[in-house]
Amino acid sequence: MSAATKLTKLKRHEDQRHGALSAVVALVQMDPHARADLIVYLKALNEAQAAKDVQEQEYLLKAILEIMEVDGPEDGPDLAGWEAEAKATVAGRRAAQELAGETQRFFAVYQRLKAQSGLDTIRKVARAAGLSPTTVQAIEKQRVKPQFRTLQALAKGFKVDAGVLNR
Amino acid sequence: MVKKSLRDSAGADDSAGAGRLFRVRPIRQARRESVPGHGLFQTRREQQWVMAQLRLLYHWPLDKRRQEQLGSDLDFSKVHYRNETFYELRLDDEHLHQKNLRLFFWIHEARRTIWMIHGYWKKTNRLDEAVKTLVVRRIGSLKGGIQDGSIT
Repeated sequence: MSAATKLTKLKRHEDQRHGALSAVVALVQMDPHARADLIVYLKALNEAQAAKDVQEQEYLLKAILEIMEVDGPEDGPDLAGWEAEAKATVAGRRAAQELAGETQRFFAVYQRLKAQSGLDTIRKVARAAGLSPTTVQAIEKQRVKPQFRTLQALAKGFKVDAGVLNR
Repeated sequence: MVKKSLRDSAGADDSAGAGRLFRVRPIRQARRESVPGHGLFQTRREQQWVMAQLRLLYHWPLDKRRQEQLGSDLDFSKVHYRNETFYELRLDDEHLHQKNLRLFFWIHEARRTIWMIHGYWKKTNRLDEAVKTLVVRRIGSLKGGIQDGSIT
């Protein structure tokens, strides 16, 4: 064995020892609640390994890593800032444009059906659709095309097929 | 201690905050996880569709009766775990690459802020405790950050 190989092996061995020592120190210094959480995850990891569920193992490993992280929470943007972050790239802008087009089409049909059906207030739409007025108000005010389940309820209120609102 | 003082301040500010829309904010980890390709979402379109749905939460009504009404439409449920209360929102739509996206929220009523804590794709019931443990842990850390002023 060459001197370089010997040194490499020694270094690897020292790194492993150092890693193990750091992990033990982290465990000793850890907040007792965090240690209890860690036990929950280790038990779940055993079960996931026995079940050979790779996806769950990945999830649990991420959770374990998070417990071991030392950096605390930091301030972040609210939803508007978060959305702006998501739209900052070319792909993000393209996705946003597609979604905006879809939302625009939905509202065009929604307003037409609302006028045609004589359901001229939020309360009337909500009652006919079996939704809460808050939900209908939120959809109209925020201009959000709702998820399909809500869309089906609206279609029922307007007495049309859900596909009419989902183009 | 942290929990108690936050609850006290929530009660004190509540009347002043009534009527204002909620803010929706993701915690750092939830923001990191939601970057397309980094765990939760596969595509940018999927991410932005979920963000759009979250805008509906601005109108979250505070009193219990109306909360339940909104809950039935948006498919919310209240979760109690280890002395903590948070909300789970279920989303299921053709814009999502898998069925049953679950998003977890903690509501800081004093600042009328809905914090998005975590999201995951529900597959089985087996992970429930691990997921709840993670959510409660993150809420605890968030409360600590609010308390010491590092999160405003």
